Amino acid sequence: VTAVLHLIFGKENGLMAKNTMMCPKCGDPMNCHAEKVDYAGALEDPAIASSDFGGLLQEVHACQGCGNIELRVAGAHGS
Amino acid sequence: MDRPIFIPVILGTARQGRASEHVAHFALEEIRKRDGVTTELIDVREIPLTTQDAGEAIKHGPFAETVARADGLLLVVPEYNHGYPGLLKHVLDTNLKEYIHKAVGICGVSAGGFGGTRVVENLLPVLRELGLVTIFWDGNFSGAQKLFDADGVILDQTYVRRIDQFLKELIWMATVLRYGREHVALQ
Repeated sequence: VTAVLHLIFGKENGLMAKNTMMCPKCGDPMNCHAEKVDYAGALEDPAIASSDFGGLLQEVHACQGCGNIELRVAGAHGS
Repeated sequence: MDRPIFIPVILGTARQGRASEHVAHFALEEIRKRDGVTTELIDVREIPLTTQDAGEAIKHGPFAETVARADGLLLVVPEYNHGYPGLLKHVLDTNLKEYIHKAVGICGVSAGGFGGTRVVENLLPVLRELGLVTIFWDGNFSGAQKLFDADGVILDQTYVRRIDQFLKELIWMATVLRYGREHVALQ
């Protein structure tokens, strides 16, 4: 399955395109594969909430090396 | 992809005499027959959560770390009054980022003849909101109290064939989603 996916998407698809997050656990590059609205985070600090979504838009990053998951506020790093 | 696919089994009820425990162990053993896949049991009874609060505020470290490492989840869920156990929802709600774009399959368990189909249907929108990706095969274990012998051995061998199909789909989805999480960027 993995080999087929590499053929379809290309091994480095989308990576290092811009503002790649580095894994704080192993140092490998991470991939931003999702964004999710965090309503609770916006309640704590309404100033950082997105007016478009009514909450804090968070990027979800996964590490290619160790599978670690990290969140980052969308747009805060030029992405 | 050097790391094996990791699919823990979550036993979703703390009720005494739970027939779901046999189903969970049956699923564990079937997963363990497969190369390149690892698993472990997560028993909601063993996760010490307060009932004075809820959600990520009461995140349990070991449970969160296990889910973070997982590529997919297999939920074994009994049907109680057509719904899922409240304790399972309480446990699931303690994580969020740990679930996103990971595969999940449900084994419904019931004393009656419908194999937990109603609890499966009720649980699907919850799992979707958590960011999990549901597969289209389910496990349906009917008449659960009579389905296993005293040693927990399943008496109806047709379930072996059925769970094989279910696991093939779950493992495929977990494999593809891991690739996606780690290599395909959100546009």
